[in-house]
Amino acid sequence: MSPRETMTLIEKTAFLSTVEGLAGVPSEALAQLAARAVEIECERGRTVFHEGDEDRGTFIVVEGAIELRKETWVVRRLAVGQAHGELFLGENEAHQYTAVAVEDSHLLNLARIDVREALLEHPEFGLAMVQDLSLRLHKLTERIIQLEGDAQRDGGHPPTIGDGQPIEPPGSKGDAPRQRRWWRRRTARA
Amino acid sequence: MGQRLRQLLPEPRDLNKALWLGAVLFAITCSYTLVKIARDALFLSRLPAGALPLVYLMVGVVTLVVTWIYGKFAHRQSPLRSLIGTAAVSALSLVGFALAFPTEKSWLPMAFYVWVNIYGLILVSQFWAFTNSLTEPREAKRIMGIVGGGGILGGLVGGWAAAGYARRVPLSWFSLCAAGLLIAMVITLTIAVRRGQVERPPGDPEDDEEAASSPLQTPYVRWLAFASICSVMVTGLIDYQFKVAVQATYGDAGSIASFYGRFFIVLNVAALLLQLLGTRWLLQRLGAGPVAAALPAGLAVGCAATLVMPAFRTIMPTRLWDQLMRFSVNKSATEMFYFPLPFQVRRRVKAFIEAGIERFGDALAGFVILGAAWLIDSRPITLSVIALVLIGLWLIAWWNLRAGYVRELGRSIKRMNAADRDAVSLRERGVLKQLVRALDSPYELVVLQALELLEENAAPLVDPRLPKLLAHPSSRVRSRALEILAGEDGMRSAVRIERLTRDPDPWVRFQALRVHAARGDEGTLARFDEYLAAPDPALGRAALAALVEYAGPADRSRVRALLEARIADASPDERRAAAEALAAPRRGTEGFHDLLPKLLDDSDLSVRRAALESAGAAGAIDLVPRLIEALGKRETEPAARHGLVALGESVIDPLAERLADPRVDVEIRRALPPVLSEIPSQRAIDALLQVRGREDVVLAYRTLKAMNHIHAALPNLVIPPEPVLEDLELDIRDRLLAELHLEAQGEPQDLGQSFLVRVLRERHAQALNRVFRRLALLHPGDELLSAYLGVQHADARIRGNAAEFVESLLTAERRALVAPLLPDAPVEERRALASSRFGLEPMTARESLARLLEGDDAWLSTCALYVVEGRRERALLGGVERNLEAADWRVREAASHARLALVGA
Repeated sequence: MSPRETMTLIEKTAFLSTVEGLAGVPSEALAQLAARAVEIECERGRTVFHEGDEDRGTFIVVEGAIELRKETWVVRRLAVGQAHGELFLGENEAHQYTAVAVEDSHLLNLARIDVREALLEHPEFGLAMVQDLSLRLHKLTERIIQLEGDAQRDGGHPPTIGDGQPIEPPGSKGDAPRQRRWWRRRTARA
Repeated sequence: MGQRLRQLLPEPRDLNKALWLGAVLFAITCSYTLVKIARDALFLSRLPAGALPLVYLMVGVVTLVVTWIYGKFAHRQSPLRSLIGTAAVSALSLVGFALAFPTEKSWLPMAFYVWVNIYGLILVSQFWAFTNSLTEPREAKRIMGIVGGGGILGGLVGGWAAAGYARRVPLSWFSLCAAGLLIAMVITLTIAVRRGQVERPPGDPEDDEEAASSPLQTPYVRWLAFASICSVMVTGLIDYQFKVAVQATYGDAGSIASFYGRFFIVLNVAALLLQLLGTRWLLQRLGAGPVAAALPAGLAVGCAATLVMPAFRTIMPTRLWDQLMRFSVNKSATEMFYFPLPFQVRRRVKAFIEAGIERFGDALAGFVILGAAWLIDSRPITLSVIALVLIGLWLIAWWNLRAGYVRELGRSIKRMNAADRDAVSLRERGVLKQLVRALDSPYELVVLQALELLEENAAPLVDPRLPKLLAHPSSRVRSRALEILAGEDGMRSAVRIERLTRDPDPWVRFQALRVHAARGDEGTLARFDEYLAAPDPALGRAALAALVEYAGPADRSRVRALLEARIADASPDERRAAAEALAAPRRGTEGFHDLLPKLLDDSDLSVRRAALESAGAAGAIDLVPRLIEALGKRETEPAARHGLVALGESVIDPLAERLADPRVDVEIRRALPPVLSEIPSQRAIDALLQVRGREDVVLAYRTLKAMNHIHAALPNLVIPPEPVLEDLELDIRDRLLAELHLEAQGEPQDLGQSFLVRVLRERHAQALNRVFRRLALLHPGDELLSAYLGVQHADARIRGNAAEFVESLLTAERRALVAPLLPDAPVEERRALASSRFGLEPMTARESLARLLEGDDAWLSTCALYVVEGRRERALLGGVERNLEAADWRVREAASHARLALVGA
């Protein structure tokens, strides 16, 4: 992995303008952001940052693909035009994931302060991030529901949330659990 | 010639609608003209003209009653249903009268006269209410010519038919033909609506609460009603003179009908030409206000001429002018006056004025003629004098309407713009009462919030509640109450606080000590020492600040030693605490400013920020150069700005000096306008007006924005119009040039061109933003903000109202510049303005790139170089090479890459 400046400012800016969520940000503000972005070349299989490393801000994929991992689990795969930044981290906190290039990759790296300033100056930027986060939250919720269904089918206990309440699968009201049990019996007999 | 004609006619998109509405009005006026001629001929052939005043009086009274009843029925109907229903009933009644004509009953002429006036007025009023509901002011200006022209053509055809057949067919035929025309109108309108050529009136986007109140509640509507009543009375007086003169000149019904036929032909040909060729031009060029004055001004001349020469040859042209203007441009201009009113209010006001007030005016005219005849005489001279007085009153009403029109349009776009609701002032009595009541709340956060708001907006209201707050169960509330008490030297209230110095909460004890210190109680200062090492670091910092604030000459060296020890400490927290403490307002004569420079050079950013803010709060004017220097760095800019703003007007001169100096670092210069905007004053405006250069887009925009900010805070400041107008013209040029570049670039073919088009669109939008910002320096800012939001609104009616407001607000010269930029303005107008005013002509894509390479907008040049690089435009190599030495590094970088691409290609 090596920092290398191969793109001009206008190239970086034009690329950022194609990133989903940055479409509404004025071009000169994007240029300011681009001017602060550092290019990173990363060969396939190399690690961009490790879990526990000092937070280096946001990474945007210009070419290639990056996987975010937590221990041995793949959390997310970033394709061209997608970004990752752990904005929930406090000052001087460390990365919570490990990022690995799964293809030869070309990235733009923005420092935390630059992203924060862009958020403060351009509401469009924040709005796009909120939309992206909401979408990911929605996907995560669906994933949890699917896992809960799988757990119940396997005879395990349903997962619970903080106060001990089980997570309800969608539409699980009235006689729905009985139907599931009936289905499970038939499956078991089969 | 063809182009000239195109300018006079509406755009194709409007033409269809205009023609259908014109056809409907054609049928109504053709029918009405036939019936009016039959009415006058019947009346004047069977009754003396002297009976007319009595009829006017009857018309007024009966119309008032009928329209009141009609209003009750029609109020809940849609404008479309009302119009169709009225036309159908009118047609039936005309058939009934036609059947009654041969009976020669003595009451028939009078009854027919009254009924014709009633139904005609209601029907025409319903048509305009329906048309108004479909359109907005700008569209109205475009289509009124055609729609009104249809009406005049109807009058012309009706007059021609009457003149041609008056001697050959009985009058009852006229009435039957008129009924047939109304039925045809109903069919035409139904077809037009079904085919979608004329859309159904949309739902009202506005708040209709006002619709429930009386229409006369607003002064604007009162002036509208007053102008209408004057107008109707004047026309009644002139009509009476005219009819008396006609009766004296022509004897029998056939001659009178024939004369009227010819009169209406001349009138309607002239009106048609004026309506089709002049109305749109006059309304767009002069606006509704000046155009509406033409009718009373001309009538004043006519009445004056009648005074000098009371004869048919002066009375007839006066009546001709009255009718010519009243049914052409004046009608269109008067309709415009209703647009600022909310939709439902507009409908009610129109019905109220046209069917109520104007008929009352008819009656009043009759009453005035009868009164004049009884008291003096009813000769043309007498009636002309009365008419001149009424015209004077009419012009006064017009003057008020003209000013009210712009004001009401401003209100209208504010009302329509949901994003621009008026904020509720916290200083309102009711709000303050609620806040005071909240101080009695047992909830800590409620009390604290109320205290903050009251301290900010009405501090004296807090004083009587302080004793109670000092006994509040929440220690945070007690502490805050003591802090407020200490803020005014502890003398704001003679509250006894001894017991609070023994409070279980350390913050309360500390604040109680501060009150003692503020009151100058001896021995207090030493008692702060115990808090310096408090477990709560915030309390330690507050204690240090209290020591700085209240240290007298005897304690000065001890406090200085404390501060120096902290400044020398290895921990940034300690150094920051010292920096923050130096912001405390000093009660003594000497401060500790000399300690700040070291803190301004601290290695820790948080310490430097605290020192910058403290420099301002402590009034360290000698540190202004350091604060200005810190503006140029992103990380210290906010703190430096706060520090400078805290120093107030004393920093304006050094700020102005640097702002005007191009040698100063661009980042510092760009940071100066926001600082000046927070010190609103005439001197700050003068300093900002020095910056006229446009080479730095960011600096120019921030300067303009700062001036808007100051103007909004202090609207009475003097802003010289000359520099504002010069810059306005340049912004208009930028907007037009960006549009020509966009046209030249067309549909983007690659990433580079897409990006260039995006930047051009930004420049296009930014130029309009600047145009409105500059106008807001010379006109009411909040209304122009609403207009700016309005012209970009998705709703065509809001866009139209906003554009009409802007056009009405500006002088003719400024309007000619700004109007073509407004939404829905024809592209030809912008092209013509670009060409005639700025010498800008359409370009090819390559010419556009070449021009951008030569331009002074560095960012656009950079983008153009990127396109040149991507497309290998070798023909532009010269332009690329000229940019290799550009001042802006972004341009140089893009130029060197572009050159490499071209030379290698």
